[in-house]
Amino acid sequence: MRSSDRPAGLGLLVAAVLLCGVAWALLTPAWQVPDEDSHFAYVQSLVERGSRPFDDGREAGIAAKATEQDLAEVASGFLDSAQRIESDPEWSPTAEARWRAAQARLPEAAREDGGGASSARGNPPGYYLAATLPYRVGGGGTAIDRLYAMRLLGVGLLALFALSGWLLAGELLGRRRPLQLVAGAVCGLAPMATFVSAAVTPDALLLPLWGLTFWMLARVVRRGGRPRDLVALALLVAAALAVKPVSAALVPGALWALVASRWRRPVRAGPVAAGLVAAGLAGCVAAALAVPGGPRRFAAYLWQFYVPEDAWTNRIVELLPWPLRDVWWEGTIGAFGWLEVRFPAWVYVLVLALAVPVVVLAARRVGQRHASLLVAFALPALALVAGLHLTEEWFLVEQGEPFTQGRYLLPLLPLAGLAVAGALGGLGARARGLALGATLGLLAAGQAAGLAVVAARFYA
Amino acid sequence: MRRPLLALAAVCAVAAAALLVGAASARNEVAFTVGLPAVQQAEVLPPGAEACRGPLEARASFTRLRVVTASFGRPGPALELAVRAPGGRALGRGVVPDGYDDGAQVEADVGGIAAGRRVELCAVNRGGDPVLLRGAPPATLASELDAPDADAGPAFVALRAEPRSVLDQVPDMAGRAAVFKPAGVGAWTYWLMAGLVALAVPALLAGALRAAYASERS
Repeated sequence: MRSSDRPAGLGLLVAAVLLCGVAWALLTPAWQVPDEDSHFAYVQSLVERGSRPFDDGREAGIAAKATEQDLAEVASGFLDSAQRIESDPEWSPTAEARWRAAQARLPEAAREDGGGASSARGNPPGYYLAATLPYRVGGGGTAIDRLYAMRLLGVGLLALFALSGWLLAGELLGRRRPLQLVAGAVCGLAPMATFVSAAVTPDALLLPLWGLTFWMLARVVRRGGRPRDLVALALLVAAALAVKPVSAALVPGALWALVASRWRRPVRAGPVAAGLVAAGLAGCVAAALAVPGGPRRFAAYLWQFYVPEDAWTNRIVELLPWPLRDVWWEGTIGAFGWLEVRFPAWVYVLVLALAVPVVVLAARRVGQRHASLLVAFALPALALVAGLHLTEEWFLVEQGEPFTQGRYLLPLLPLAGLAVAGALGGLGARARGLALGATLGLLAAGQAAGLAVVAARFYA
Repeated sequence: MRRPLLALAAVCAVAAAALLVGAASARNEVAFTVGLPAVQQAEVLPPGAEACRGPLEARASFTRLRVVTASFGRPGPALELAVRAPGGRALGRGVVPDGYDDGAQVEADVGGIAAGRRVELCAVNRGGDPVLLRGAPPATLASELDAPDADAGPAFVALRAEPRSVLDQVPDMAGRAAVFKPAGVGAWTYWLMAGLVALAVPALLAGALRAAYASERS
């Protein structure tokens, strides 16, 4: 193997990612990740009942989870502390001992009486089927043992996510290992990605599948659609669809990549940009007509989402004052627990201040020859964002509650990693070296800081 | 090659210092809570009546108790805040004088109660007017706290004699984190993880950076 073929540094990066992932998995209290309780119940239903959760007529509050899970949730203080920053989970070893004794007395049937309607029941079974393996490995233990065994699956998937960032950068920036390293590190060490992946959630599998799909999109566009790449792309999109319906957003990008791989003439950036804008506008109009509240309300929702609070009175009270900041920015950088655990406000400002030059530098490196690639990446990103807005508007109108969370944008993290690597790649050697080291340092610091705020929230 | 490593080390060192300063300066007087957030009317106490939560384990030592009240537009009546053993024996008590504002959070010194002790936390109306205690239903998800049929219990906030910094609590936190975790996990696990995240992760990244640069040079 030539030295340039060796993935130098990748193994050490993966080791760092795994280490951080294990730390998150062990530190975060049971079920203190959004919807982790429902995802655990889904897997338990698959294993113990042999079926996905479904509405079987029983009351949802009782049927969603098995007795064993209910017992552990009450005893561990999860129900009293989730999303309630004033309350801590149970710290008492005596309470834990009482729960262990009660758990030991439970009959087998106490694992089997869940499986009813839950917030996760609409998800395809892709991730949950994979999670049945660690569930079975921990099958002899308590519900808590099995939960943490399942979290370790996500830690492994996080390493795959980091690999996808590495591969994507390698495909587009060449085998420049330092740049690949930073791209992979952005995926594997961004605190929010680690927090989400080190939990029982389909997002843990969704992230690497999206990352690998972006890599394959780049290969298909750049290499003319070799059959094995096309097959891999189709399989990845299908797998992502089997994990979460939101992966339908990958389909337009995949179709474009297929077209672009067959289109041998150069694609001009100007017409492409105009086409994207036109498609976006057409999509907005069609969506506005389709949403349940009507176009005027949808426009008001989008306005409130993107425009700072003092520019408009908050007409939709269910939304946070400025969702662009409160949900998407802060929620992508760090909103832990059930979103109630955050960094100090200056951290988000600092990350924004660092992100702006990255975007500018990365944009300056994008040329005419990248037009096809840009479309292949932009279509899934736009479709994802549009889908989230439409879904949220539906939730607001039909159920009176918001839907979107910052973590839903994490599948786009490989593109952010690519942007960072691309931006650094355009610097002179000296500045690039400093920026590379500082970026890795910031990611390590972000891990430590994220773990610290979570520890202080739950255990101080 | 030295510059990237120095930059990495410098950022990590600054971040470590910032974390230590932040942990030392973040001080907290709350020992533990029960029944928060106080979003519902939990109990209306006529004169002489009482409301309790427990028996429960004092999850940290404390000296004061706080409750969230409402007094129907009038100044609040005198309230006795008491800590009792499960059998009813008094472990500590203190009195909130009457005259506090409607909607006030009030507190009283109840004496030192040790961590780990099983206790009941009680509020007794010692005045001539009714007082309402606010609280939240037990074992209820946040999204269901305001359900009209939820049976709320009064909120009690147990407070330490002096605020403690997060840094000061780190040894306790390692033990607390080990509770309700898989078999075999203990406080030692969190000390180990803290050391690995603080030292091994930067070292691994430095090694990765060195290897990546070496590969590029060759």
